[in-house]
Amino acid sequence: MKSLFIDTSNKILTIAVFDNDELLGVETSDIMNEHSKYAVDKMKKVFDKIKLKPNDINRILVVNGPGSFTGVRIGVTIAKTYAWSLNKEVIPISSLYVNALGYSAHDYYVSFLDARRGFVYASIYDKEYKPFLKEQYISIDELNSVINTLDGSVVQIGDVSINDNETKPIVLDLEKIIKYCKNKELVFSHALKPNYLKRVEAEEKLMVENK
Amino acid sequence: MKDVYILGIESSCDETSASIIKNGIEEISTVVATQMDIHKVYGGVVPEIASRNHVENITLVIEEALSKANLKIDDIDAIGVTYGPGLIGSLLIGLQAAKTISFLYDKPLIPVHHIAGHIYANRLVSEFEFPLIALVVSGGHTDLIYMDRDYSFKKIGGTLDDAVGEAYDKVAKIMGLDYPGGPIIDDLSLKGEDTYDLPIPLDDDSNNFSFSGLKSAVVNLVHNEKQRGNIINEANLSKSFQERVIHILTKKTMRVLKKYNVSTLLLAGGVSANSGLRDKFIKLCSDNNINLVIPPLKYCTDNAAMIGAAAYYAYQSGLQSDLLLNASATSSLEKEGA
Repeated sequence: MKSLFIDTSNKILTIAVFDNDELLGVETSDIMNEHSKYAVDKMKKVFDKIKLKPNDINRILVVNGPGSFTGVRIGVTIAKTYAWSLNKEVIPISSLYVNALGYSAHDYYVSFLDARRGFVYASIYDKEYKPFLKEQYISIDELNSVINTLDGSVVQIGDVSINDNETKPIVLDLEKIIKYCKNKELVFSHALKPNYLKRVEAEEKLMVENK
Repeated sequence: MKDVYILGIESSCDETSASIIKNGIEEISTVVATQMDIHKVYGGVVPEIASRNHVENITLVIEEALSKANLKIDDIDAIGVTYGPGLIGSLLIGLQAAKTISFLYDKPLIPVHHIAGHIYANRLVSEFEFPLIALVVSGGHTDLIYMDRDYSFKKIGGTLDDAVGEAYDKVAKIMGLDYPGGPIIDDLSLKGEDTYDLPIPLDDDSNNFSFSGLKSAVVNLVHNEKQRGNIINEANLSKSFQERVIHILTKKTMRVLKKYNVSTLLLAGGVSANSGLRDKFIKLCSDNNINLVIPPLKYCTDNAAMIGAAAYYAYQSGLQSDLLLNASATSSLEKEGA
């Protein structure tokens, strides 16, 4: 069982290939705002390096958000085009979840990404990485009030400072990701879409006006 | 010679489209998922909403274009994709899909400039006799392009501010008309008289256009009339505005044809659907012995058939990209030159 992992949801672009739980190859790029340019090229580089053909892949795991809308769409478009055109399985996975998996040995994992203007996309996972607070678009104040109720060792993982506690950087643990995500729910390729967690501002305004 | 099939992909604004074009001249299939009704309530295209819809539509649209043509990706010789200009978030979707297919199936990737696409929409209905002049009129462009051979573009004039389609949309908005306003103004003008005193924009010896002054004149006129409590005659204002636009577009284009000693004119872009503009060019070209090529209405709005057609000629002239191809919101057509 060979799996392809695609993450374009944060500053570092990651493309990795696994054989079952074993990492065969990985390519990353940290050039800001250039995921559109490099993603498919990096994918080719991974395949070339490990001498694999696109058709050898059985399953695609793609981070489908939340995060930068444009960034997430890049990975999702590549994954759904791949899955559709070569008839492969595809699994969408949460950016907050994979970011939480980068750390271990805590009671709670507070995983969040900057959504600007005092808001974040956030989720809290328990020590078994089960959702404790379901992922949502939430104000930093509100998230902090939830964090204050947590009992035990807490680690914060994110790309923005939300309080005086230390926030750990996003570091992907690829072996752990494949172990925890490979059996998550498949979706139909055409139906794969980003999980934005937030409406478009113009839509929100229109809904307010129509009330 | 072996037939060449191109898969064209277009997502530069609010239409997700895929098409199969044979030998650069024959449209085998085209699918367009339009979002016009989605954006109508906002009075214009909302880029983020457009991008979200493109992601949901892209693979369905490509699949349907292939299945209508009864072809598989394996049967395709190359993939042509709009890389710019346009809305960056929208362009990225078609681009990623095209790059992914190009990589997975090891097919050549052809970058197509959106305006080259609009020009080559005409190749689906007519041969090109070089040299020719193309007048590209759309929501983003008002350009006079000189071509002496395939896929060679020399800009000899263009708008200094608003594009003509942009001016139409803004004028429609101030008049309280629906989006997109161009076709509505065109329809209204058929029922109106040229009664309003509006300036002829940039009526000089240059090959350039300017529509922001004319647009402002309409805005001021509507405000003043409202303040005086007068009711605007929409049909007459539409007619007056459209007459100025058509006058200057046709006058400068006909002069350029003479100056460059060119006897073929192509119209291209969304505003070439304007009936007033078409009728005036048909008459002028017939009077002046100019061979006029006008795209059928279905090719005036954004579509992938024109991208597939342009890609064929780009491919023939050696244009091809690697997987590092990126989208560009603003890109020059002239740099495409073969």
